[in-house]
Amino acid sequence: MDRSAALALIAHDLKNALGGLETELSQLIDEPSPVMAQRAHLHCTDLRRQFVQFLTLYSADREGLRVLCEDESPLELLEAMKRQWKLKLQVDGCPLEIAIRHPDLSPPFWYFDRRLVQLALDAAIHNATRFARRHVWLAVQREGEKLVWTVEDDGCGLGAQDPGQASATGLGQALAEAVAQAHRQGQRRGSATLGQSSEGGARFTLELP
Amino acid sequence: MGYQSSLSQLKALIVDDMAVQQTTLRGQLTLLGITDVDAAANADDAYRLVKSRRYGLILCDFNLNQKTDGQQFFELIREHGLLPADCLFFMVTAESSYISVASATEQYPDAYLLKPITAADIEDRLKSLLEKRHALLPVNSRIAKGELAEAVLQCDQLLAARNRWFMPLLQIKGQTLLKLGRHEEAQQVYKEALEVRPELIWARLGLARAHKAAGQFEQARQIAQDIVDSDDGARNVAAYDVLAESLEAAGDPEGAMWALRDAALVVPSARRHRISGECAYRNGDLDMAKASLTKATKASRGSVVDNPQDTLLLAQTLVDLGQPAEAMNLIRDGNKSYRTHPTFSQVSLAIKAQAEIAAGETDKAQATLDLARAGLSKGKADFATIALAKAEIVCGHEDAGMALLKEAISSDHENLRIKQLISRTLTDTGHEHQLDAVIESATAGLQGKVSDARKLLRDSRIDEAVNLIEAAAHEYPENTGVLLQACQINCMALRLKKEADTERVERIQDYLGQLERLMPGQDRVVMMRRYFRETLGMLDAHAQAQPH
Repeated sequence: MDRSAALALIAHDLKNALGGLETELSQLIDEPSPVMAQRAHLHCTDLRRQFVQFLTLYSADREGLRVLCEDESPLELLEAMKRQWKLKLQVDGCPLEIAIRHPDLSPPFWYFDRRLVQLALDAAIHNATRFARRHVWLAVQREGEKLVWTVEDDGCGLGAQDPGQASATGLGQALAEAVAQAHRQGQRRGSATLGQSSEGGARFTLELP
Repeated sequence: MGYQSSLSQLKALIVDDMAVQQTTLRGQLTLLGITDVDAAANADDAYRLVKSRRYGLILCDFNLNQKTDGQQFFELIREHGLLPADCLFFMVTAESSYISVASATEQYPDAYLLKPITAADIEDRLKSLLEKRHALLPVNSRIAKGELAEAVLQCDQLLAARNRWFMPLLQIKGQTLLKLGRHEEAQQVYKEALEVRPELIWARLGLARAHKAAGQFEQARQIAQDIVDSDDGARNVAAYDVLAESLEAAGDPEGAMWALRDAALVVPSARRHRISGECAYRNGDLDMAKASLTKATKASRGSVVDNPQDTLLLAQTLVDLGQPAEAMNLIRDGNKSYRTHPTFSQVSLAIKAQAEIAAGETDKAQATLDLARAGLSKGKADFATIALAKAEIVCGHEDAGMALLKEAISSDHENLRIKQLISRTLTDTGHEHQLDAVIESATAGLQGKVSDARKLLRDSRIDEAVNLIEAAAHEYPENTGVLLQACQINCMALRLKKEADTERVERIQDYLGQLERLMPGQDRVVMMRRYFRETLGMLDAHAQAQPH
């Protein structure tokens, strides 16, 4: 499927998700409840996140992604994301555990575009939480001249039946590839791959030069 | 102090033209425990608040729907010393404009926050920046106290850990070494940073500045040119500035003018148009000067970044272009806007007199000139003096005009920009044949005093040498060339006499203070400060070597 067809499909998904939110909000009018309001708010935030991903991908498709790299702490970013996702899973009543593996292997700093990497990892974590049975593991470490981020789950791995939106994985992966490609160092570029985890589930890898 | 309690003590300011957004941000800060929060809807109100209160955090929307945007507001308060080192400035931008805002900025705020913002976004950034501030405090507190050499030593200690703050420490160390005039070491620091990341713009820019400080203008120019030619650096105005400074220092003022014009295209702010316009005027490109200064006045009129000098120079440009009616209209409007400004009306009289002559109103011009003269006691190396000199010349008082120009050049005989302005004035008024007589003779007079003093010193007549140069410094207290020599000769006197004469040391400090006010951040002053420090170091070593 080419990029524009993928974008159209994703837009279709976003429209459906917006329909879901609309239903939640109309229910709230009939039976106002703080718990439901919080859930609707969370879904709205989630939808916004997907729109940002979609727009980022769309602009990457049109004019290429521009990165603004600063020295950042990779571990600090992972920890911030873990915090946000834990809260999100808690509000959704989802029993998944999200943890950082081998935090000591993270280099103290690396040059990357925090906003874009966060978008890509967010999409990967989002996918992992949809397939995982109990655990999602995050990790970041230096391998030679590369910084390697991984998001793993203990689901059924690649080829598992998608329990949710059909093309959400496609959006996340396309976005991660665009983010990886936009990170360059001399002749070297980043890459994003989806493979099998040793835990049985899927393993998302984002490598940055 | 714990992180949470440090948040609760932060005073915050929200600058946003949308009331709803102000309320949202205030709510998010409250969630983080920050409850002492002020809000302003525009840069003018925000400026007044920043002047009267000390904030620890400023959240400012980039798009304020006013003449002054968030970035200009940020640069203004920094320039005016209203942004304390411990105040964090967060720029809030829309997703769509983030790249263009962040890649074209001259000075970076502490963080960019992309709309819509959550409390978690603010908290994440605050937490990491407060950690950074804490980690760098041993260095920054020394810099704040002016203990630059100690700050460098502290950097070395912290750099040894090669931790999260390695690169910011290298950056601070490089900047501090440049401030100390230790450009050879600064070059090494920037090269070390470039080994980590070869394309790093701040390190390349630092390296260019270090070359420039060492007088290696061509290397500096090449590096700055490479930056502006690259994808990432094409919008980096600081690189354009280094490029222009290197070209100017290497004797290519026109090249500098074009570099500054390009910078104003990249960041079309009032400030950049002003810099470009002033340079174009000095170089005699009146069309470019008119275009740039018109943009500068339009972009800033009535706002906090408004600068009356833009209107004065634009009026002078219009007179020079033979458009006296436009110039007079501009001055009339300016006199309303800048009623309370201390010098606008006085300087504008000198330009008005020229415009009246150009319009054929000779009698009026004489009367205006009489009023203009009343405000100037002694000529200085500034635009006001040059404008009055020009008015004198075009009104037929050639001798008075020439005398003023001589006073201007004597006030600062090594100031290339004043020389450019004087040369323009003489050419415009058909007196280019007087160029040598005015510039060269005044310059020669002062250079004679300087070389006489240096000769006395060589003949070991130390006190006479010092007296001579100090008399010159007393007569021309704003002459940077004389002040630099007064510093150097006094330092040499300290070295020759091998004793720490407190009065002399204080006098040198006064001269250096005056130089820093007259030519802030310039390499020659930095190098003189280094020479002074080395002199004190030698005296110390000498004192310690003496038997007690």
